[in-house]
Parts: sequence; C-alpha cells; structure tokens
Amino acid sequence: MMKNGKVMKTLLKRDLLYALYSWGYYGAIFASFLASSFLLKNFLDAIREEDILVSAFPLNYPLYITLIVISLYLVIMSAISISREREQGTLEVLFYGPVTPASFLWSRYLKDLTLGILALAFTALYFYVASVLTNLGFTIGLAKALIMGIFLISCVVSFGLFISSLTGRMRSSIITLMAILGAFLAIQFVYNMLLGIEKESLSPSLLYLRQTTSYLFRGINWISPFAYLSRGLDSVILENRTLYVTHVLYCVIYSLVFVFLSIYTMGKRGVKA
Amino acid sequence: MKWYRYGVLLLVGMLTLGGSLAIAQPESPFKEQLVYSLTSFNGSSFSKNFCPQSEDTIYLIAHENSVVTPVKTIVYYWPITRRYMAGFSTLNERINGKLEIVHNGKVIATQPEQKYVLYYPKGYWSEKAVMYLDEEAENYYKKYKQAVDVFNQKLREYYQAMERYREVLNRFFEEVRRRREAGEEGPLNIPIPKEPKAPDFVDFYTSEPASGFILNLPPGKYEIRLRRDDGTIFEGSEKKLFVFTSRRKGGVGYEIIPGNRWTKKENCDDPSWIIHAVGKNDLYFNPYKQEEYNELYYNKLVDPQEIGRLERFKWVHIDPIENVTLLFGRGKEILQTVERTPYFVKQIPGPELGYEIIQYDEELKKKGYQPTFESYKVSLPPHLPKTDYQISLVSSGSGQPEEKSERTVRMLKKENAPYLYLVAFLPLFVGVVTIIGRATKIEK
Amino acid sequence: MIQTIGLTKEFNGFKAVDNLDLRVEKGDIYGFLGPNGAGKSTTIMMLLGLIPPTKGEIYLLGEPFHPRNVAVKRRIGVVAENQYFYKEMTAQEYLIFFAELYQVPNSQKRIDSLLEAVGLSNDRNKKLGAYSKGMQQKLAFARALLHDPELLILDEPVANLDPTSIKQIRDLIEEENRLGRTVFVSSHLLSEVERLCKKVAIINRGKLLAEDTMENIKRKLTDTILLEIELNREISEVGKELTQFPFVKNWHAEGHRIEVELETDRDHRGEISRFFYEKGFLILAMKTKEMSLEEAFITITQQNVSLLTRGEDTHEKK
Repeated sequence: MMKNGKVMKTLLKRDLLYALYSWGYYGAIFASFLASSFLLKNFLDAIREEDILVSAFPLNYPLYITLIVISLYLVIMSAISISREREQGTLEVLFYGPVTPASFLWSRYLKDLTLGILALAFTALYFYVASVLTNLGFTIGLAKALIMGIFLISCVVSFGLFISSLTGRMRSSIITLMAILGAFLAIQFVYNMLLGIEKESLSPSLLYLRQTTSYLFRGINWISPFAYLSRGLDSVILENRTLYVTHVLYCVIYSLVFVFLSIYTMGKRGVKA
Repeated sequence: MKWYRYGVLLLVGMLTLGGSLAIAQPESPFKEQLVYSLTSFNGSSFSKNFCPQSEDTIYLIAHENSVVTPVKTIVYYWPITRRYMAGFSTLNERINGKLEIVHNGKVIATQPEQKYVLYYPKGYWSEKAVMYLDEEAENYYKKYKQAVDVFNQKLREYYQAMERYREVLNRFFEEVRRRREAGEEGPLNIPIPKEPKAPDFVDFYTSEPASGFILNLPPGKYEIRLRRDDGTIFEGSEKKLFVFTSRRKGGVGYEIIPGNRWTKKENCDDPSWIIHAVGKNDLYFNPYKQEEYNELYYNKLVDPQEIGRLERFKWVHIDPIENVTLLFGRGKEILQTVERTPYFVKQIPGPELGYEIIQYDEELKKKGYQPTFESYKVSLPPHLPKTDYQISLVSSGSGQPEEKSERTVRMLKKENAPYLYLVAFLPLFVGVVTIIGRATKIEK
Repeated sequence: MIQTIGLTKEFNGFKAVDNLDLRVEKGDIYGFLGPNGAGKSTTIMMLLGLIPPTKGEIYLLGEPFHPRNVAVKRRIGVVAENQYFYKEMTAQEYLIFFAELYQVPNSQKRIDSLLEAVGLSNDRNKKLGAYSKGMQQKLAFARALLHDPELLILDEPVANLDPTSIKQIRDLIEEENRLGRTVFVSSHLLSEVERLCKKVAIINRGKLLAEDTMENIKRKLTDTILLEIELNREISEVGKELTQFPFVKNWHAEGHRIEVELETDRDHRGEISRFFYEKGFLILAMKTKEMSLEEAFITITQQNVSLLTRGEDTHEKK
C-alpha cells in the first residue's frame, strides 16, 4: 500500500512537472483570462455615467467562462492522457514495473486536479488584481466559487479519464469526447427549443420527442460534468451552505465513481492501443 | 457504422424535426369543455385564471387558501397568442359535485363547496388581498356594503351641500357686485363661503361572495376529481395538483427607480445582487418583503398555460415594507439616513423633453397634484470615493435592523478596464519563465 | 524463474499461443526463437501481464503470476522490442524517474554506472526525442537493469544497434548473467542467440517446437550430420562401398577429400574410421560440419510448417 503510494507520488511528480513544461497549459489559462477581460471590460462599458447595473456577482460570469475554458482544456488532456500513452507505448513500459491501473489512474487524476488547482490559483490572482483595478469586488462568494471550482474540475477530470480509459488512440478519445459533449449539447438544445414551443403547436411525435428529451436532459444533469459546473456555481449564488456542501459531496461521489470506473475499464482494456 | 453515417442520420432527423414543426397545426377552435376556474394565491394577492383541458396540472402555493371552481364553458384556441381562451360570457355553467383530493392513490379529503370573498384592505387596485371564507366572508362583504352605503349617504349629503354651497356662492358674488356698484371701496368684510369636502371613497374593497372548492394543502403531488352525487366521476374533471412552497423567504427586496430613467425600474431582490454604479446617481429605493419561488411552478400558478424553467427561481414581492428608515453608509459609518418621502415627477416643458424628480410639498399639494411615487432617495455625488457602500433598513420605531435588507452599492473604477487585458498575460509570463528555465538545463 | 504450463492465447478463435510449456531455470540465458507471427511477442506480453492468457498458468520467480502482483514485477527488468520513451525527458531524468518508481537505493550512483556501461554518460542531459534508435535501445537496457532485477526479459535487445554497441550489450548481458541474473532473450538475430544462450526454445504458429540446450536442439532437430574426411590418397571407387552402412545417407568424393552424410542416431565416426583403415587409407583429418542454429531454425520451422500442413505431430522426427 505504502509502495503503491510512492509509485503514485513518482508518477504524479513526473506528469505534473512535464505538464507544467508545456505551452498548452499556460495558453489555456491565458485564453480564459483574455475572455474574462473582454467580458469584464464589456460589463464596465455597459454601465453609462449616471446609470446603474444590478448584478449578482459580476465576476461570476467571467469566472464561469474561465472555468469552462480551463475545464475544456483539462477534460481534453485527461481524455487523451491514457490513450496517448497507449498509442505512444509509454504506458506499457510503466506496466512492466510496479505500476497498476489504480496507481496510474489515481496519479493521473491527482495530476490533472493539481493542474486545475494551480489554474484556479492563477484565476484567484487574476480576479484579485481585476477587482483591485476596477473595484468589482473579490467577494467571499467568489472565493467560495473558486473552492467549488476544485470539485467541479475533479468531476471534469474524472470524466475525461473515463473516456480515455475506454479508447485506444488519441483520435478516438477526442472524437468520443466531442461526440458525448456534442450529444449533451444537442439534447439540451432540442429540449430548450421544444420547451419554447406551445404544446398545441407540436405534433404527437414532437410531443413524444419533447418528453424524451426532457428525461434525457434530466439524465444529462447527472452525467455531464459541465452540468455540475452550472449547479455548483448556482449553489454559491444562492448562498445556501447545505446546498453548497451537498454539491461538493455530489462532485466527490461523481469523481470517485468515474475514477473507479476508469480503473475497472483500464484493467479490462489493457495497456495496448 | 462510420461517423459520416451518423451525420447523415442527424441531418435526416433535423429535417424531419423541421418539417414536423412546419406542418404542425393546432386543432379547430370552439369546444365545450369542463375547465377549472382558478383563484390562486400568488404570494400577496390572488391570480384569476382558468385551467383548460390541455393542461394536466394545476399549481398552487402550500398552506394558503386557493379556489378551484369547475365550470362548463366554451374554450377556443387563439392562434395569435397561442393559447386557449375561455368564453365565460357565452357559457358559464357551474357543475355540482364534490371535489375529491387524492394523495398517494388514496382519497384524503372530499371537499364541499364553500363561500369566499377577496378582501383588499387598501382598495380594489391595491396589490394585497386576503381571502375570507363562509361566515367571515359574509361579514366582510356586509362590512363593505355598509361602508359603500355610508359613502353613498355621504355622497348624497355632499351633493346637497354642494348645491347649497353654489347658492351661497352665488349670493356672495351678488352681494360683492352690489356693494361695489354702490361705490363701496376697501375690504367688504363679507364671509367667504366654505366649499364642502367630497367624501373619500371606501378605502377597502370586498369582492362579491362566490363559491368554489377551497384548497389549502401541504406541499406535494395530488390529484383532484369531481364526483357526482350518484358516485360517478365527471369526465375531464381529473387533474394533477402540484402544491409547492417558496425556496427562500423572509428577506427584503428592493425596487430601484434610477434618477435618470424613472420609468425603467430595476430590482435588487436577491441578497447577493450588487448595485454597480460608475458616476453621479440619484437612486430611489422601495423595499418589499419577498419570497423566492421556482420559476416554472410560479408561472404555472399565475397562468397554467404559461411556460417556465424548472431550474430557475424568481423573487416575488409580497408586501411593501413601511415604517422603516434606510441607512446608506460605508462600513460602519452611516453617510445618509433616509426616510420615506413622496416625490413628484415634473415634466420639463420645451424642446428638452426631460423631467425632474422633485420632493412633493405643500405647494404641489395646493395645486392639486398627487405624488408620483413614495420612496427612499439615496444620492451618490460625483466626488464619492470609488469603493463599496451599503444600504440597509432599520425599523423606524425600534431601530432594529431588518433581516436580509443589506445590499452593496459598488462604485466602479471604469477607467482601469483596459488594464485587465494586461493582467491576462500573467500565466503566459509564468509559462515563459518556467519553460525557458527548463530549456537552459537541456543539452542540444 | 519462468514456467508456463499450457499457456494459450486466443484472439477471436485464432490461437496465437497454443498450449505452451516453457521452463527457464535460474542462471539461464534462455533464447526464445520463432519466425514473425510465431507467438513470441504474445507470449512475452502474457509473461509481463500486459494481456491476460486465455488458458494456462504462468509462474515467475517461483510465484504464480498475476498482472497486479507488483512485488514480482519489481524483480523483473524488461527491454521491449520497440522502445517507448517520454521524449520530453532527458536520459538522466528518465532514469531518475524509473529509479524512484522502483525505489532504487543510491540511485544516482547506479544511474551513473549504468549510463557509463551503455556508453550514454555524455548524452545524459539530452532530450530523449533527440536520441537515435541505438541510443534509445541502450537506455532501455540501463532502465531494465536499474533496479537490479533477478530476471531480465529482453525482446530483440540488440536490434537497431551497430556492431560496437551489440558487443557492448552482449558483454553487459553476459556480465549480468555472471552476476546471477537469469536472462530470457527473444531475438530474430539467431547468431546472437547462439552466442549468448545456453538454452533455446523455438516456437512457430503458437506451438512449442523444441526446448533444450543448444547442442541438443541442433542434434535432435536435424536428422543428418556431415563428416568431412581428408585421406592420404585419391578415393576412387572405394566410396561406393560406404553405402553398405545403413547409417550412411549420402557421400561425395573429390580427390583426397570425401564428405559423408550420416544419420544422427548415434556417433558413427569410429565405424567410418575403421572402414578407411581396413581399405588401406590413412586419415589425415576428420571433422564434423555442424549445422548452425540458423540452419536448424530454418529446417525446424520449415519442417514444422510442412508437417503441420499434413496434420502430423511436429515433435516427432523421422
């Protein structure tokens, strides 16, 4: 057990270090900050002299966008993390030795989570500086949202790892990930579109489709890591401690389920591409 | 299956969907239907609407009286608004029976019809209403009728007094004219007749007693159905009943009238909402007690044919808060103590087409003007340091703070916005340092 | 050190490895031979726990093997056929990473000595992406030996190497074997196996054709031996009389020299010497021309193919 822990630590150290030596990581954070800066500037420009704008947490929407961009980067990274090593063959070399699916996947999960936490630390710094510059306010709510962000990233990473454990090659990982996320979005889009149309305007088949997409939409709310993102930030806005803790617990359970599923799948699927 | 085949399938699906939408036509209008006429408590008052056959669920607020009344009427589809309308003026046939309430498959109550009235303590147009039942309903209606009778009596007396007044006034002018013509100069010392004051209309309103099935249930899912005396159930009387409650209650919500656009009000209801300002402002605050409801449930409560989002919530203003003082301050320092004051919106004549919000005073009153609104005014002068300020309410009597009445007024430094782009480069800078640092350790 | 019993791997009904019984003793340098597609790599992958066997048992280092038996895996060093590296790492970083993974004590000293042994000391701070195939192979060797394993499993260990490097690696293998390490080598370079290995297994189409010492394999799996004899005078018609011996398959004479092809059931050299002595010849030289492993390998696998096509048992040599 202790040796397994050391193996995990070694894998984590290596993976983390070399992820930090890549441009992609900094590029993703930069892109998210650029988007946030754009949104914040627009927000400020929207308030004319002698006017007001009532908004819950003006930094929350940029934070949401930042989390989405960072999560997208991390979900892609984790989605290819196993398949890339499978494809490159490096996974097999690790498995000649003391590495097991569990130690490998936990180290990968922790690595991506640590990258996420580091990105959130950058985000906290960015928003702090932004709030000092503009007086937009680095509130406790924002700090709570950032902490919630850790758990949301945990969901995103574990989901990505699961996709990666299923697929043999990087290309199929990305296609699978995009197909799943695309399907989530499509269901959400169709659901919202049909919801916006009066029942009387819908034929029986479309009514059936609306009912089906409504069930699917509810299902997606439990499967899609991005649904956890929205709900988690909602719980911060609502300032409901119980809801907040419940969401954290949901995220922990979600992450555990997907990491264990990934370990199981990887054990079955093997290390070969 | 190859990916492109999925793409083709998706395309076919979308075309089918689009086609179906294009050819979807509503059924023909005008049908005789059993509908439920609804008088639903909406938090502060009662919403009146009806639930057509097309809607299978009635939404009600828990632990409050609401009324459902089954009637046979003409229902027709109005394509312009895409909703069913009821022709109660054409057909409005009450259906007699007993309303059964079913919960978890068991009949938990069999409801007889009851008499009810809606009592509006501040008059017919006020936002607040209370429902009274049975004997109390009769009493309130009687009280209202008596008040109207008293008013009518006073009105008659007023008209008579006015008639006398006009006669006295005529005599007064006649006397003045006569004495002036007689060459009398200076004060005439004739007492000026006093105009009688019109009686105020009854300041409350009670609706005519009506009867229906009163529903006052704890939150949950129920079913209702109407049973005839012979034990059979009226066809089309079965409905689902969804009884819900607010998610949050007990807070204060603000309606804000910005000085620069008084007709376009803002709301600052959620305790987390912040009022952002950048320059000079005059803000007029109106506080309300409020409760937060699910958007879908609440919309369906007000109108069963309305739509809404299950995952969203909305604040509903219940009652205006009176007898409070508004405090504006920074941290613990109070900068302004504001009392509720009437204001008058004075139109500025001429090409500017503007307006000015002035305090309503005796002079305006003498001129016969009514206040446009009453509010708590907070002024944000241009020299105010750009930081966070708070508003909150305290009871005018005890000075006790009103729960969840605090809001932040945040003065923003708009001029620094372009620097945000520079901050965005921070991760790239860290990346450059890390990667170059690593590169120096590697041999080519 | 390695034992497989009835090891079988099926892919969609196709038997890649069929009922394979191997036994590698402690201290062996064991050669594992077979043509492409014979099932060598599949066998090695099963030995390493990378794919599960369909049937059969594997014992490594005396213990029943399971892919998650990390304790056993820690005692094995592996050089795979294809080298896969984290190209962004340097050799030094790569070996430190594996030393930490295997928890090697005094790792830096060990890394230094291994880099020295494989000749990569001067390239230790270069990114592995810039390494040639040969350098990568050597580094893989260093990695395999890093944690002082009891068993080395080498899949094509000297492929991609230049002759100097081959010698370097060969010496290293022999040195490690002398230090008590058991070596299991799979290679297509038969000359290398012949030079290195004490014991050899040959498989084809997933089946084990032979497993024995080098000499026995060559002897058992070839049915004739060629005897070259140099005589004091011309042989003329005497050669024909050799056909009286049932064990003589063929002969060919040229001047003073004669080649006699003999059956390998036993050593017939004494009978042949006596024959020429009785005929008045003086034997100036006599030597057995042995079949190389390569010739034996080709013979065996070809026979095996032909036998298999006739549905006969490949182990029985006529």
